[in-house]
Amino acid sequence: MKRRAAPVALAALAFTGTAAAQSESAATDTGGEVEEVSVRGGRAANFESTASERDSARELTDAASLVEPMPGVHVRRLGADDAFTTLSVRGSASTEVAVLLAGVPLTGGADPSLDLSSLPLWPGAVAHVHRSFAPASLGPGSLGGTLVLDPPRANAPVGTDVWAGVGSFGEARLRMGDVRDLGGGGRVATGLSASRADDDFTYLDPGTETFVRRSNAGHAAVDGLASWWLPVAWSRVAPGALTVTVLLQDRRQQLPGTVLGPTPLAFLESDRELASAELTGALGRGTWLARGWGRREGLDLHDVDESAAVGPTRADQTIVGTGGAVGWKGRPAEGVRLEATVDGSGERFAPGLVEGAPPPPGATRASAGAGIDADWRATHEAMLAASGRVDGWADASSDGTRSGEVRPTGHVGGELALDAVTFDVHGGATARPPSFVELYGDRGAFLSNPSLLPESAWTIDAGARSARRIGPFRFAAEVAGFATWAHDLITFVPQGAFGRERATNVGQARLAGLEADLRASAGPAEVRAAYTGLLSENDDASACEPVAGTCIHPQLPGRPANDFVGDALLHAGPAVLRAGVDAITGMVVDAAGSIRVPPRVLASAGARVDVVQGVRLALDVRNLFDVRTGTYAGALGPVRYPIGDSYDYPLPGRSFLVTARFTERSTR
Amino acid sequence: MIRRIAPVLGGLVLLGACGSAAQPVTSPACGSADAVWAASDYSSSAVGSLTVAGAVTSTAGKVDLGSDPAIASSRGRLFYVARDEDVVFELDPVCGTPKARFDVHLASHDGPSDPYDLAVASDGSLWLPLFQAAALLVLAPDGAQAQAIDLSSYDADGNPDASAIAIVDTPAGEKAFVALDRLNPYPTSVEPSWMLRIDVATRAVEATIPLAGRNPFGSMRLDGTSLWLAEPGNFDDATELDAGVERFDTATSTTALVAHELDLGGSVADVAVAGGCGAAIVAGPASNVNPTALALFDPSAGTVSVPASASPLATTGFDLEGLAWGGRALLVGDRRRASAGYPVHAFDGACAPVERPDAVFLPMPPIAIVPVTPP
Repeated sequence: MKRRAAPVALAALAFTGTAAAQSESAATDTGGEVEEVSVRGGRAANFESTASERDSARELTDAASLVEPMPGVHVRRLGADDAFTTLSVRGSASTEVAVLLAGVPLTGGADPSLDLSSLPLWPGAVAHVHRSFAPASLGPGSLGGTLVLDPPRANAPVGTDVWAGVGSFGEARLRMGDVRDLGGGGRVATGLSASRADDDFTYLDPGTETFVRRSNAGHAAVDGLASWWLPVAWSRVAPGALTVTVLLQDRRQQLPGTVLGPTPLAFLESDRELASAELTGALGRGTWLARGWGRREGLDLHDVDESAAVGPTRADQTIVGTGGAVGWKGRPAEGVRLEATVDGSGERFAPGLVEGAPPPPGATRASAGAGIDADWRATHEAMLAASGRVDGWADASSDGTRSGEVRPTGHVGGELALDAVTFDVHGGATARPPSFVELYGDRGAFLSNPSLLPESAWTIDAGARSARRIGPFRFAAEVAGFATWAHDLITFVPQGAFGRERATNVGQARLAGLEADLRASAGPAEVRAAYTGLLSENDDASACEPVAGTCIHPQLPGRPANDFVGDALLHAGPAVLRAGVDAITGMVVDAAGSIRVPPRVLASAGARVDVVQGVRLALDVRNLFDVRTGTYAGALGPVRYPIGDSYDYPLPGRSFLVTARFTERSTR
Repeated sequence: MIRRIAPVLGGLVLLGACGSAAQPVTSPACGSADAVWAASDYSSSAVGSLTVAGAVTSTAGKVDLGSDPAIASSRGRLFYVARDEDVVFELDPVCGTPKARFDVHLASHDGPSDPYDLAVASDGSLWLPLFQAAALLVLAPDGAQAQAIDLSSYDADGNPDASAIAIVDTPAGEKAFVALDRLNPYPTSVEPSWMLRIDVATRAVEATIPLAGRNPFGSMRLDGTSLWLAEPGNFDDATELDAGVERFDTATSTTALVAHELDLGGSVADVAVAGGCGAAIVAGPASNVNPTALALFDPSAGTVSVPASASPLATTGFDLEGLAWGGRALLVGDRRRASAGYPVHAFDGACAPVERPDAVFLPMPPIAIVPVTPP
């Protein structure tokens, strides 16, 4: 039996019968002849959530909406879909989450905080979120978590998917995915996605207390992907494979600004080109792997002199990165799985034309690292896992400044699978190198500090999961608790008469929380729910609530204390009806923790119908009750402001999305 | 870029002697107070009152207080200016609690209007320089926007950076004096700064008077017929000849530098004058550090009695903000947190100050302090 202990999604194991079956569940299709061994230890190594585009309860608009229902995840949107969107995992800052697409890191020294709206989405896409700890084989880790977005794989079932939708605020979307045989055992997967929207919804202007229309908030994007999988016969007994993936993206994003400072003429033009090649072959009791990748991103900001943004009127920049890895994974001994990786990368940030502001310094980073993931099934019920990396990096700025660091990180974990419940526990250290703007400033609002240390944290977590079938009732549930002590956090501190900000390692924070994920069904009824409860404390010496006397450290801003996403589905023949809730409470917007964001509970509803074989129509209504305002505490009493994580960036009211999906699967 | 660090003190109505009142001013609503303060960490803000003895009241955690406040004082009325919210709150003049709200966003201007200061005319109208909107906004006594006086022609870049206003009864009638920084190229101070004189009755600009110093910073302090201006020039240069403390005579529209930054030992960020005592917060020229210190001068002769180098209070960064004579003491705000909060240092002894043990602690880093005047 091939034991493909691939990262096990709760979705994938939802209805398996025993805990023993959970850890051995195969989540994806078998590709070629080479036995794949993913040494990620199930949840013995880390807590991981997986979401598949095909399995979503809701009609997905973008990659952010794919990961939004996961436990431990908070997606922060600064507007409608496709507006600037960031990801927080277990209360992390967005700069502390690493993002990989098709195995290629999209975050780095130049862009530590990825705009999720720039991520493409195709039929068959799968997202994995590693909460706090990530496998060493993924590359240099992160402080808060890692998002891995897998495009359609060439070893997926042969067939074609086409998804198209139109909706409110000028929204139009198209996604196509196709997987076909090339003959000789080869496969090719292609994906194309395109979208546009005006996102000209109305919101409450708190100054005039009238509803006004958001302007200059639209976007247009097109993305294309191709991935080839070709068998390689190194010898008669040592088969291998070559996988090549190419991605091209082009996007124009209008920048509406804030409620009080709209920027009606600002926009971004961006493009991203990415390529990776991975070669594998059998070696001993496992598989060797060699991977190379390259990434280029261009970003051009356009604005006008009179802009409220008071920044450059033109700012172009290019990010180029390249890297590679070699490794081996396999079973060196009975019950032991091992993956060893050596990797390296180079990144270059180059400012281009800049008008209306000084150009930021160029910067480069050279990184090298080595890591090991291992797990050992000590008994039938117990598994131990360990993961460790040593990373070193050397940074240089175009003004001659240099810095660097060598930093080990790692964690250990264990899993105990009893009949009804499986328990997991992990603990370890994570870190994040400073970004270029933190190290070298931008010669404008941000000052340089090349002596910055990496941010680092200690985290422990523990949880239990179970999947059972009791008569017609089936469920899969996971509950996990976590605690993080973060130190040397990088905080921008105003300096001098003009308040320019310098990144400093003064930050400390403590975070603790609870994550719960549930999928249950009984007959035609199904429930999916995810909850994250978070307690945070900003232990920065200067962070105090606005009361005189002994300092009371406030909670961290922008993190909800309670974040719930739930859907109830009713299957009726070819139709599925859905009712959903997204609720967020207990968030503050300011550093002193004194301005509380009003609780936000948004309802949604949807219906899907398989009209004929392979054709599905769907309607999704979001923010069903058109909630557009929340009540804040004001100086003279309660005041209404737009809903949103930040009142400066309102979220839209009720919206509709009508979609059609065509699916054809090869019978071969 | 918003000059968010401007520690705005409203045109102080200073009384005859050093310090405004021998005893705290009392109010049935909040007890007694020597001064009203505004504070902010540039993420959220607070406002309240204090006594030199250490009693502090505050209003905090309110979304519309914004993150970039100032306080304006005029004709015995106090106002909290939420610059980044384009909102002004009238404050209880003793307690410092908000009691009325005015929307000062200029709809005809894209983006924030950025009110910087406020003055009250004798007819009850409210006048506000809008730093980013390049205009002077006039509100009717009921708060309705009555008129916006375009100021864009007073600098070649289309914005003369109006930063402060005072309305004064002069021998020629009631006049509004508006300080124009004229930072061009922004934010450097190269061009001469101007004082604009506007006839309040006709709302017509009468004159532009070149100032002796450059870059008037924060609000002007009204002392009799004189306006006192803090003029740092450029903060990264403490040797500019046309920077320091300036006295503008509203009766004659003549002006002169009284104390030079070279003598004071730094660029002047704030000034307070009472009777025969002048105090200034000065900042050193180290770029993006600008260490602050308290300096003292004779407002009549212009002689510097305590330069920054001999200051009884000096910091390593730009930490001192908020300066006022209140409760027979010189009050100096300090943005460095102590164990009990952010201290407001109180100095006795007028022109030869002796610091009292710290007793006043604010809940947030101070921005501005304004003395409470008896009704």
